[in-house]
Amino acid sequence: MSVSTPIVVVGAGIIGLDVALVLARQGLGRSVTIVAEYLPGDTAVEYTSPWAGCNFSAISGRDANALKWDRACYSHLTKLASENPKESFVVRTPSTEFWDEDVPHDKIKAMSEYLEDFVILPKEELPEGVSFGVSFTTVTINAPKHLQYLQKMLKEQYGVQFVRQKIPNLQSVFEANPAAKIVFNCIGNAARTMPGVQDYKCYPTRGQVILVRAPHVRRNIMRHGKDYETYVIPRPESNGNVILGGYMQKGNGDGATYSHENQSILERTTELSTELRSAEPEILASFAGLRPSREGGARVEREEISIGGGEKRVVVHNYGAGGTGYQAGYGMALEAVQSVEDLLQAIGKSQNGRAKL
Amino acid sequence: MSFLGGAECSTGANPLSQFTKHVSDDKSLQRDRLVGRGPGGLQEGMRSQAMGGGSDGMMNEFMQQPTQLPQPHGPASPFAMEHMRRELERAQHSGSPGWAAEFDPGMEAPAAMGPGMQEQRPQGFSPAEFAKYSAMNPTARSASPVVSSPPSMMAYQRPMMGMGMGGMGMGMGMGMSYSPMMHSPGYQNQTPVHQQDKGKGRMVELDDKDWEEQFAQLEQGDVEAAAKAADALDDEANAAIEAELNDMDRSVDFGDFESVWRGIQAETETARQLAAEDNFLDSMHAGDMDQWEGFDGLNTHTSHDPQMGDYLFEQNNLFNDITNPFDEGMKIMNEGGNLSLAALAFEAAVQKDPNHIAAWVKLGEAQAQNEKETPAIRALEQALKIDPSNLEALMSLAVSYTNEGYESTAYRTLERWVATKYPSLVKEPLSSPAEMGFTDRHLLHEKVTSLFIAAAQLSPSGAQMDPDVQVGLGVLFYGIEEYDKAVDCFGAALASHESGTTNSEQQIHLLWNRLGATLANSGRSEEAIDAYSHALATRPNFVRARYNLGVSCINIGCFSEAAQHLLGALAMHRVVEKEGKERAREVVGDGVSERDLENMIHQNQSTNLYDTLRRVFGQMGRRDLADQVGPYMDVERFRGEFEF
Repeated sequence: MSVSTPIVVVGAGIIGLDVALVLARQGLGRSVTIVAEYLPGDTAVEYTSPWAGCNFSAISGRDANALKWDRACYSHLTKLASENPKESFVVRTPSTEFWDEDVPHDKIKAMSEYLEDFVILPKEELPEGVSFGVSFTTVTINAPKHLQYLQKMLKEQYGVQFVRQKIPNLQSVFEANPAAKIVFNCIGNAARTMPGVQDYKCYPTRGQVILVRAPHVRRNIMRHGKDYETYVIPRPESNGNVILGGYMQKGNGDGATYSHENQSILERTTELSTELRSAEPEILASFAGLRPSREGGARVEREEISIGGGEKRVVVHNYGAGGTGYQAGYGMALEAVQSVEDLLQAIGKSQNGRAKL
Repeated sequence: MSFLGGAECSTGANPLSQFTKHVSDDKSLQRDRLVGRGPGGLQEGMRSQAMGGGSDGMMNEFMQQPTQLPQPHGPASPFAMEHMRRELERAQHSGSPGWAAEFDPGMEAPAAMGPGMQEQRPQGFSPAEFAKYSAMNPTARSASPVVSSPPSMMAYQRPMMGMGMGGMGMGMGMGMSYSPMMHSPGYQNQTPVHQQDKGKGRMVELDDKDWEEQFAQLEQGDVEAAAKAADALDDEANAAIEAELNDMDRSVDFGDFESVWRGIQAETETARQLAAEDNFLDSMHAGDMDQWEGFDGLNTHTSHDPQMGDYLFEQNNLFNDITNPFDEGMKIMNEGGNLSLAALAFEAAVQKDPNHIAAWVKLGEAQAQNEKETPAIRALEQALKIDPSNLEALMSLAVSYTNEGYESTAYRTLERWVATKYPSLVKEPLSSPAEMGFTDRHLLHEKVTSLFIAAAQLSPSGAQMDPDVQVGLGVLFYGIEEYDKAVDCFGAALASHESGTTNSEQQIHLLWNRLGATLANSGRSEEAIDAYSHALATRPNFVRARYNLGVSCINIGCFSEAAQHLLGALAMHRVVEKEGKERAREVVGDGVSERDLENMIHQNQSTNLYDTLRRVFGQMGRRDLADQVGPYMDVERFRGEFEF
């Protein structure tokens, strides 16, 4: 099927959807088509976004980009939480975060400047083995529902089109769709193998989580250990479900779930969360997700490529967010869109700049 | 037949050939009042460039509290204009790669160049001038309309200008809209003056070197050691898990299949409720989805006819209980009342009597003027189903098709029009709605144009030609982007003393708008603005003209004025929606949520208005405002910052 819009976003995970949202808010919704193998509502191990917890935390990187994107995205998410929590499935939640060691002080300081209700916990309140702790107001997100919310809003309010299609290589997007001038490459893990990208800095970071029913759990809590990540994330608008996790297994692309890992998760999370301990959670299911990680951090970069016949087109790469897609996605999208601001001017004019007889 | 110098618009003479004469008074002050005042304009341009710097620009403005846009003050100065024009010119050609121009064929054109670039363009005209010209020697005619004369605005009064255009400032437009300066691609080798980007260009990848630099800056010494050990962590972690494995009891039961399903069902229970609402909403919008089929964002279609579907009526129409909604609607239209209200009246009329062709026609026209093209097309097509020879519907539909980029369909519709009104002229059978290639479309255009010219030549002298034929010709020229000729034609229709439909008192504002749109799309923004103000003078509620005015303001860089006009147009939509909502609430009761109620009211949206407004706010650097734009926006909240 041929797409007739000048802008194509490849990938319908949180990254691609956030890009489309930024474009739509600029008035370019009708010039955007999202083309993807999987769409919101689908589940597949190759489609990472539905499997996220998820929440906003200090799990992201310490580099300048991560800090910048996090900050922008926190602003975006808290706004959603204020204006439309029920429909967007983004909700303010009290959060506690612990570090056993290796405390990223500079990053925490940077985050303290914008996190609501930020407080450094006194030493006496820290559990054994924890060397540093903070509490603040985070946002928790019901990942699969948030994706569907975005899709619906993009379609209905902004005129963004969605097409289900598996892309064999990056070049083909332009070849099959002559009207396309800019392609946003938001393919996550596929960036490693997709011809035309083949970014070998990309690797999956496997996580496993358990979905439980535990309506008494209201607080988001995370513990960064020497060789583990443990977290309890209450899931918004889910009838009291909670996500328990987890793992950060770099380079592991296994989509299976393992009972021994579930056991470990249960033990670590009940130790971590007093709320969870207070009543037996009802265990519902176990999921594995593959975070689309990348050495050096996510790639947000404009590239000019040649398609046949001396023609040039523009690709904006926007992948490799690892476990930070939801908490940095909007910030990354802003940057990705900014990188082609000049071209968008022309597109905006041709879409919106005509007088009507 | 050759198409030179506007001969086709009249029998022997083009009444507008004399428009090359211009009123010789100095227009520079008027121009400046229009587009910027004093040194304030200059300073804003420079300040905004500094603020919008580099790849952080968007991020920063997104996160920071936007400062109030400074209002310009002081006397008009032509020099601020000159500077702005040069800035525009420079920015236009600086950063983008050459081939980027192909993205917008108009990019090289004077469209965004601001006033004063149109020195070589033919001048505007007033009705008085038309009358004067049409009485002059009909054979005097210039072959080419290009004249070397100083730029001038139209001579007549502009009562709307003061009201609508007061307090113009250049806003953030200067800096934000031309970020080619900030993002020079590598092979351009430009270093723009106001660059705030810290030299990191577009590559945002961090390599190992950067990581180490980061760590070197951290206070804690042990962090660095720990960071370097980070890579070794996972190997250890995996080893630790293996150890755990061996000790563990593996007989943990995670519940049977049933309980898993129960849990997931419980979680999705609320989702299902929402899904039920979703279906309701989907059916509401299903019709709109049709318009996206085959819709080209660049506004050029394949040559098949549009599949617009059936007209979608507003729910809970206040006019349903009125005895004669058609008369009500006509009253509202003729008094220049609110077009949304008029549309509702006509909807009620056709729901009462689905064969009431006049009501369908008026419904279509009301919606088009209300900047809601798709409902307009649906209504007009319905009218033609009942009476395929309705001239008014045919002409209006041809215009709407042209706007939406369905050129072949527009030409075929015009062919039907001329065949209906001047059947003696038509020797060949009418064109069929088969799929048309580019060449076929070209031939079709020539065929129909010849017919119209033949119709024009039926009148012995220029002054007595059918103004409706003139308008049809104008639309035809507009379709192939022969804007100067189209301007001639619309102008001739405006000047005509003959009584056609298109230049009747009830419809002349449409003609002014058509003229304006033609001027605007050929880059003559100031003249376009004048034409629109004529339309709005008699019909302040003419939403489309107001929308067009907004677009022209954008084109000359007056973003906050553009916002004012667009918000004004939306406010007019809202008036009716508010009343309708209150009424709907009475009917529907409390069982329905606010959102659902709003959806019921927003049946036929004008996405165009929203998207253009978003673009304007983006140009002004006000993403906070852009984010608020949408079907659920509270237009009133903008009144503090914008006058409308």
